[in-house]
Amino acid sequence: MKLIDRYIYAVTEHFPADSRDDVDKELRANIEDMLPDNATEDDVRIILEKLGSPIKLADEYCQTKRYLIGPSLYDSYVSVLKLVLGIVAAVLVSISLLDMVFTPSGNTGLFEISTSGFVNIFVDVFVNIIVSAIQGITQAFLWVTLTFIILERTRINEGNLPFANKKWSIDDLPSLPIPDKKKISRGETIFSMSCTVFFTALFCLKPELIGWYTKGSDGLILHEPLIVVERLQYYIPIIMLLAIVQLCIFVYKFIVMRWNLPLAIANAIHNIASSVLVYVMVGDTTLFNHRLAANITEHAGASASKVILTLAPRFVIIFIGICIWDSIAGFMKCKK
Amino acid sequence: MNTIDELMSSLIVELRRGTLVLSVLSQLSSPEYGYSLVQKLENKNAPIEAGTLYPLLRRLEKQQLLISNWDTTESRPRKFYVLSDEGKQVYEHLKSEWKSLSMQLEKLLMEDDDNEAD
Repeated sequence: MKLIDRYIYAVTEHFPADSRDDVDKELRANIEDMLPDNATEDDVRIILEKLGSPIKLADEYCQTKRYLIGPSLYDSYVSVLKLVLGIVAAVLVSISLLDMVFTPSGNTGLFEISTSGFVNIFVDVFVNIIVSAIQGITQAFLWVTLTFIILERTRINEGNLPFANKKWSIDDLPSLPIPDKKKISRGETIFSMSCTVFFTALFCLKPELIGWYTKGSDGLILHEPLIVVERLQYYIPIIMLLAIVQLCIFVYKFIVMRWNLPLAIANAIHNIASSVLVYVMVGDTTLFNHRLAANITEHAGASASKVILTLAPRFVIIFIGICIWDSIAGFMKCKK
Repeated sequence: MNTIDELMSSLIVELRRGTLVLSVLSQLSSPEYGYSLVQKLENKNAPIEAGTLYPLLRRLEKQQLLISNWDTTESRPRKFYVLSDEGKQVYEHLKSEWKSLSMQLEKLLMEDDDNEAD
């Protein structure tokens, strides 16, 4: 009977192979039992309709989670998604605008536009903004959703450390209300999130905007970029990865609003990774544009360029110091 | 009105769902196959939908409360289910649980009836 085949296929098509054949055989036997002798197609129809929707039946067979983000997280998922998409869109648009204002080459600079070229440039910029906004939003959507899927599957959100399999105890109860020291303010998280997105986008999309600006007759003009873009390409995947991890941590912070052990651990790991990255990048002499130092010497004197050169190692030390402090603070705050 | 009806039917489904396992276990001290069990329960005025029963049998087997066997001696092969040793234990336990539960509930509902009669 074609109809029965189709019905059984509809039930079992998504089952794992080992149980598929078995359920097929069993269901077929059961359906045949339900049919009278010499069954007509109408009889089959009646029986199958009685069995109900194959999707519902399949659901009954495998009663595992068949959703990505469950009801307990759905509301925060939607609100975080809106927030992150908003930040990403705003940042990308502002970077496109910055680019438009500061790009020195010829007639793309906003201040040198003749009226006839204006429409063309406007269209160009507009298309750029739309394209980068769509790219960014797609990325943000993907990573936020992924974060929530992980939260849902590992049940970190319910206070479980993944792989620890620890039973809930009364000590895990959060105090009421959340003490200020442990509390993570939404505003702070949103601000940090915006900064991360901004700097990552700047590094990945328009690294040439970071550099030495001088005041020209038409306003600020980019004199010499700080970073050698070709060399930076090697670092982009790592920068992106770290930014994504950071973003996931922010999303998690935004949901739980208080420090806890998994959060402190994730924060520490992220800090260590960023410190290593910054250490390697600052030490990489091919990454920085050597003409910049010469340029500064020319404009502001040799002493100024010396000051800037000695700043680099100090910057690394300060950065690592902040990272260590931040990691420790995370653990302290979840103890309190 | 419609929402009350919907709520009612979903509550009734919930009430009955808890008793399904017990009803099925009670009928499996001797081997039965899917459809024979549907008929048996129907004859005893405890009908269960085929679409609910077949998956339930598989789940109970996975939980090791039932043992299954394909019988191929007759003209069409059928999968027979019967209580395992664990299944028997669980059934006895559930049965006594159910008895005390229904007694408690009976008492609660009786009191309520009495109150209404006052």
